[in-house]
Amino acid sequence: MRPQKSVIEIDNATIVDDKTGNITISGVTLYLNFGELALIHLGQRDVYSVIGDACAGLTTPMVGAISFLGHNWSRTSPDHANALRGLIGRVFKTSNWIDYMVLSDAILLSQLHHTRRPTKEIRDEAMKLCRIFGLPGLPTRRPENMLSMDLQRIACARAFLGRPRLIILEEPTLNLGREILPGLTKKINEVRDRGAGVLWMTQNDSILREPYLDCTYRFRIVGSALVEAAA
Amino acid sequence: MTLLMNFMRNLPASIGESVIGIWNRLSYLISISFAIIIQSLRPINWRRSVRKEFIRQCYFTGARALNFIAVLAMLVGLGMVFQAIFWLNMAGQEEYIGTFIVLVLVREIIPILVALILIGRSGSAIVAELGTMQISGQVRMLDAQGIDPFIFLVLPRVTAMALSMFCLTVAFLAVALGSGFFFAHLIGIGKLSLMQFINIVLMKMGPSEYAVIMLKTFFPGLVIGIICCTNGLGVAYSATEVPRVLPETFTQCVLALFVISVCISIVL
Repeated sequence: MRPQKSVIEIDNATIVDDKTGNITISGVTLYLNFGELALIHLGQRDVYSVIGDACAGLTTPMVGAISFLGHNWSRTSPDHANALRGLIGRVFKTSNWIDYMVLSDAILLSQLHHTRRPTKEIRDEAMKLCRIFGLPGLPTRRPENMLSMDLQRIACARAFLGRPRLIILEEPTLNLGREILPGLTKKINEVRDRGAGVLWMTQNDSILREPYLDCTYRFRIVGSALVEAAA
Repeated sequence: MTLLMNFMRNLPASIGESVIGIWNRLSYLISISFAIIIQSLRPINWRRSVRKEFIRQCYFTGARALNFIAVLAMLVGLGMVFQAIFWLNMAGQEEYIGTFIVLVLVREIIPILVALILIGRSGSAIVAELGTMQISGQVRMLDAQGIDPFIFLVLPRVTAMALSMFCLTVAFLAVALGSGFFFAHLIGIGKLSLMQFINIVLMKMGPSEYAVIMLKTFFPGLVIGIICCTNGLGVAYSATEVPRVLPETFTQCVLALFVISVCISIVL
């Protein structure tokens, strides 16, 4: 039986961009329960990392609180916060792979760091995920030798590796379009069945109308406010 | 006159500012050093990912520097060990070979030389690598995955730097002594056998000399690693900061190296 807690709770929070110090979104209230999918349309505002970082507890809201699995990020110790972040799978909008690491190692890194699962088991799972997202297998090249569309597939595979409790998707269809949707929706449904929450951020209007996606909530950013959009 | 008055008025403030700046930097380095020592003793911090990073760093800092260190050690062996054997032999005072080698090479020159090589070779690479990672958001990405950059990036680099410095110093010493002895024999001036030569050197090595080698390699390695990592991760805004930070780091590392070296020499 699942505990009666939300995956992510954002309670009347004012989220600030820690790079510029500007208020990005104010009065955000979002409760994402186990197995739910929230789609946020960002409009013209490129605030993927600001929202993603706030949900992952990397930035503290100016007002309000953000909790993950019932743990308020601002009251969680750094070690515990890192362990909790290990339960978040994330596709970053900006590709920032570690330069010196081959991609196979970069995909496995989080699982190798946070779990004691055998390396072979993690590698096999990563290989399966890469195939689901349209790659021939686990990539062994460095990031600079890969096409941006393949890096996006690898980013998706990395986000779903292990047993994440929250998936944050920052424009996962970038560089790929609809091509990735069948694999992506399949994996989203699987993790939702396991109880994970999914937060999908996009600037693409067509994603909002995508019949593949069985969204629990649809939000839009209007001005500096996050408002629920009509289905 | 007004200019002079302003200068005199601002002088104490600027002296105070620079003293506070140096003190802040020093206390920051000391606190990070203690944090590194404490964190490195926690087994939980040596996870698979960190161990892999440590091995990689040992390979780049230690193993890949070995060829260059060996060539330089041969030249030092030729230049100093051979010269010592030659001139002391000419003066009929071969019994002082051990004293000269231990006092000059083992205690002073070789640890500093190896440290200088590592500052230039690996230290600058660490600054550039971490600076680029910081600017391009790779450090942020690690944070977002719950991987503490201090544990994943700083801890293995600093410990690998300290270990590599010790190992490379021992290797340098062995090659320098071996090559000096070999050249002396090649020319036919050495009267001592290899075992006698080793024996003379080892006889002059007391507990304080072993302690000096350990302290003059591990400790500067630790501090140099910390300076390089903190300066690299301190790059915040643009990649153009990296060329500015590199010479600053070199200066700080060399200064720290000589201060530590002199302090250890005075104490031991």
